[in-house]
Amino acid sequence: MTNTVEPIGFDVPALDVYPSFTDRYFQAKYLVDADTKVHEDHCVLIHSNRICVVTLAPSHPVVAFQKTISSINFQIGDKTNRLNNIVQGKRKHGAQGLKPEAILCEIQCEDGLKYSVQSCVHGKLIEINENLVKNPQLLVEKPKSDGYIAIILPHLSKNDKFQSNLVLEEEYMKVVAERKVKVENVPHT
Amino acid sequence: MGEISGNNSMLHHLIELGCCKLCCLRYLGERSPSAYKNPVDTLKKKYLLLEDCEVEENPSKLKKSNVCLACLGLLQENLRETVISKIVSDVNDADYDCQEFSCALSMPVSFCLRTHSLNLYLMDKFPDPSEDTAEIRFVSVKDVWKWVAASEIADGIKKSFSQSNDCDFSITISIGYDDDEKECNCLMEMHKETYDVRKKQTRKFKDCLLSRKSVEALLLTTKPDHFQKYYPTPPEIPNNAVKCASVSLHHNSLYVAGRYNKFSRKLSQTPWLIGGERLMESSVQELLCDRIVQLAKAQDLRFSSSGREDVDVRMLGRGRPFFCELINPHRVHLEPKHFRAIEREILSTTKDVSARHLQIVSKDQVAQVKTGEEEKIKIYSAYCIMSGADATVDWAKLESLSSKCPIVLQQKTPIRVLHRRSLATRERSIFRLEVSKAETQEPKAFVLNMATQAGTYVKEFVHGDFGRTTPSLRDLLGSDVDILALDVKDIELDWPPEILPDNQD
Ligand SMILES: [Zn+2]
Repeated sequence: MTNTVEPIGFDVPALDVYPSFTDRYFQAKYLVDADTKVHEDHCVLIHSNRICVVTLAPSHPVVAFQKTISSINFQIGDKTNRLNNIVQGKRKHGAQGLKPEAILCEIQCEDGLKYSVQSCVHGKLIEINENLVKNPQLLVEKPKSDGYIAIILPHLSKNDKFQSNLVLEEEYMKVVAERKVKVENVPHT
Repeated sequence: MGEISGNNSMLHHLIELGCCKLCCLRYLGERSPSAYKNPVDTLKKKYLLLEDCEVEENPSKLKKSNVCLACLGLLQENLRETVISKIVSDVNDADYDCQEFSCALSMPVSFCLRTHSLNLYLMDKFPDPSEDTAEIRFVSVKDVWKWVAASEIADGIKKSFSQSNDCDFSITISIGYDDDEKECNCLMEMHKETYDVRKKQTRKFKDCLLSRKSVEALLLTTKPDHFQKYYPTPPEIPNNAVKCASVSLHHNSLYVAGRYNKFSRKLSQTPWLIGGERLMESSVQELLCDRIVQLAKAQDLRFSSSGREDVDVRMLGRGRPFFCELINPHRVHLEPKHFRAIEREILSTTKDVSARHLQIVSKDQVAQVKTGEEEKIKIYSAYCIMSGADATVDWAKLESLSSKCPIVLQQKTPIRVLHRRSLATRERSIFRLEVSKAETQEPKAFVLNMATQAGTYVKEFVHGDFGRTTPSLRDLLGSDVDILALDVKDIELDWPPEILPDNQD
């Protein structure tokens, strides 16, 4: 009297292209024109457990133009260094608190331009991607996986507030498409 | 002869005060339980109770069948019988199948006061030649109550009385007394400073300003003349007798262990409730334990296992060791045939789980499984897919990984559990790693068979969790790979002992 066990994988539907790990577990939302800086779009990957991973959107100039990053600075003002964030316990005690407008880091590109990255989310900073210190180019190469910037535990009661500043994938695609049309219609000077 | 005549005058004095027959014997220091079976006889023969002054027939010497001032009626025949018959009927209604019982009496606080008062009085009036304390010289109400009541209860509930502290089944009888508060109020005056302080410490002494323990401790430190200012010695004859406030019954936990298989990828281990709402129809725990709980007629259960698998992970092979603690079980004589029947029943009612080796285990055995958890090795099979439209499986590279074992991983707490676990980096090892062809038609798929250290997050080892587990299979292969199904094939812990098929009846 034993159950017949189906071989592993039999219940996995076969696909031509399998969705990525990111697509399977996260919903992407976008912050368009962050801090009114045109085209500086951010992306927030929201896990089904509500943990948020902040990164750059594909349309952000750094990613879109495949810029070369010379450094990423996590020192914010005189007092706060995002790399010094220490969290303890299940509730992430001691974490740096973040408001959606809080600056996570500044990206210094070789072309001389500097971009600041916002938290986008109200919550506690769990972790900065330390791999970016040694290898900042990860952010350009794999913005939606290994090049993530920060992991944030969102503040649940303030969750609704931040949701309203973010748009869904569909809306984001629309905005990006409209920009292209505008750019094509404006004669270069 | 001096002692007997001394006893005799003490006896008459006790009767005079309003003590019942059994309390007379208690204060005479009678330590033979059988002497209490027929107290009048004992009093006459051993303590020379004289003439017509028979306690029963001639109540003139007594204060008219009063409630005993020492035991508040608890040892007097009428009340004793009422209490015993309530206990017997409560226990029989609850229908426990255990063979032994122990019992405990919980007395009202004013009883401590009365005992203290009478002790002071008698020690003063009839000094003990051997200078023993009152506690040594006199026999306690609780002891005598057990001597006279236990055998009657035992006959009524058909269980034997146990004096042992580790008797699993206990009957606790709470004795209530209507005038308790009234009689205890004197303590507030007797120890005004203490109680004034305690009244302010509302959190510490909430609802238990007058706990029996604290009163007993306080009385030990009270000087006799101070005590007498606030409480009469001897105590007064009570207006009311005590009564049986409640009978509570408890059997110590019974532990049932076994191993389980889980064949579903849509079943959580324990009931999954959010805000009281069920997210899944059933759970491993319910499918396994509901019948065991019914069989043992337990009040509640605590499910525990050697680790746990995710909702979407199957548990195959020998299964996962588990046990359930049955709380306050009414049936403890569970036989192998009952367990085999439950195993068959589970098999016939669900395709999602199965159980084997079900058996009763001791508390010590349960402790073993908890300590074994850290060291055990787990065997996994993972169904993996090379990501990307044009990806192919690099078999040579995969096969070369076997020789790299053990592979030592640095794993940050996976993002998927980061909301409920603390952030840490843990070192874990993959002891063995072998690749095999998948049985599906998918050319991009392969199966990874692994032996890992307890606590390894296998899913993250495969896809890398955004570079948070290093090295990951993705790092080792140099291309993106995802895990689409996971099975636990074995947990290398031999617990509980296997039940061989011969033993099945
Ligand atoms: Zn009495």
